[in-house]
Amino acid sequence: MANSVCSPFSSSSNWVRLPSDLLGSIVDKLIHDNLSNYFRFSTVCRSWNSTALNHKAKLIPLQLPWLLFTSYPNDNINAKPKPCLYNFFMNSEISNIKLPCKFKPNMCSGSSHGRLVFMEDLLTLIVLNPFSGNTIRLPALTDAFVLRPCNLLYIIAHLKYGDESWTYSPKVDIVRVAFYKDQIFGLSRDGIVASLAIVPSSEVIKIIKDVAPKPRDSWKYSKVIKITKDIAPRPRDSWRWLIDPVFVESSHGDLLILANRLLSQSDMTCLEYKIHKLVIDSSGGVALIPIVDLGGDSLFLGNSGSVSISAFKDRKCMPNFVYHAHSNGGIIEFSFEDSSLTAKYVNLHKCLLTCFMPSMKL
Amino acid sequence: MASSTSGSSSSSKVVKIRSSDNENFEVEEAAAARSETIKKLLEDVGDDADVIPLPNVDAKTLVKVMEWCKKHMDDVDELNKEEMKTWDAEFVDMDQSCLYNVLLAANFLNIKELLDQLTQKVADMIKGKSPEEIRATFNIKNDFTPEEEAEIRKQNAWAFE
Repeated sequence: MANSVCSPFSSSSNWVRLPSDLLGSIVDKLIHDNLSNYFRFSTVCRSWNSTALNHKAKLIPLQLPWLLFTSYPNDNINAKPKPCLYNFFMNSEISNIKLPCKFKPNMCSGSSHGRLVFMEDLLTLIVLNPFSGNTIRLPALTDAFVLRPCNLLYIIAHLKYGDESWTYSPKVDIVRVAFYKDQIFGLSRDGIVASLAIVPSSEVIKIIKDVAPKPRDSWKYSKVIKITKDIAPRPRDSWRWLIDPVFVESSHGDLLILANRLLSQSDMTCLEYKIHKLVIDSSGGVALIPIVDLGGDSLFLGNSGSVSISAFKDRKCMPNFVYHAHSNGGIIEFSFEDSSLTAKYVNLHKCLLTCFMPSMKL
Repeated sequence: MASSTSGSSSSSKVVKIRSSDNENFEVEEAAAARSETIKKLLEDVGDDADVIPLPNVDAKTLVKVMEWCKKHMDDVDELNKEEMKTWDAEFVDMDQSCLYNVLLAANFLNIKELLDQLTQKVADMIKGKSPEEIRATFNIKNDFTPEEEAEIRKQNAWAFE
């Protein structure tokens, strides 16, 4: 009976029966920078599992954004690509995320509320929470043009909870959209702001004719997305160099438009960033106001998804910093306070880079 | 047997506390009052207090907790902060059974700072370990059915590298 001598104190401690508030404060400390510790904690036994589940909601605010990118084993571009999650502050990667469909580079088309949106094929989008594993398959698109734009023209598709089918826009050069204060705003690659509205199709046939080169399938739908361009006067000077700006909502609830440009083709660290705030006045007019910093937020910028979070003291991120996952293969940290810029190489491949906040909800 | 902590300065007030296994201790009031529970009891009984019984804490654990309280009796100045940090780190470095008892005692005695250090220690012992390693460390029996465990693992497969 050699086993009987091990752990002489085991009878006196019962970690399973630890009061739940104590277990709770242990969970709080586990979660601070890495969700995988939290999930492993929840797998130990039933009692710890239920403590972990009870603490879910409390833990979300402490999280920092993650980055989804494509990794090629051993840096071999011919090898089979894998989706990878990167943690900005732990310098760690998670490479075994399970996708509900076959992975292809460039298939992640964005993120929202901790979910990643993947293209299963040209007509099907899948919404995945990589941390809970929960998957939602959206109704199929009827127009492949939405997910495969050509000649820099896109079709925007809209689906509201409860809708059985999508509503489409005519072909348009809008590359970014944001839902903000019950309105949908769009941005073109050169910084033109548009408003998008869902209207009965009869109302906009004339407009579609003006914009779209050819009548398309969207004609036969009862509703279409009407696009009104140039709703905000472009501030002189500052827009001239804006290429491919992105929308991001700040933690204060402002809609920001962030753009960057490379000052030197040979040096990827020679970058400049500019922010504008979209302001809606009482009569519904829209204006763009240049701002000098992020109001204390940290902004995590990816070319396919960006988030802005409050940099309060428990977090490792710095206020008024941009953490930019750059398609040149590095993470660039830029400070709006002193314009300092540092870059580190982390081998991100030139494809869609999505920053997102983890969510503990299904 | 009654062990006592000899007061270093005769002027400071001493209170008597009794462990669950009926050992009496004399502790400086300033140290004992690090415990919100004892502080409250002292306020309630005033100067008439004979011995304060602590039915949830055994002598061995009480010695340990009071050791911490004595060390943390006074405000630490900047110079000693580093030294204190080292002391605290060594203090929480105990076997899991002892850690468990001190944790429960700190909870019952309501000593926030100590609780914070102890729960941090437990969290550090969990970090980076697989569920199997965590169970081994804390002597916990896996009470999931194989199906349940497989299901939880499948949902969070990435966490189990």
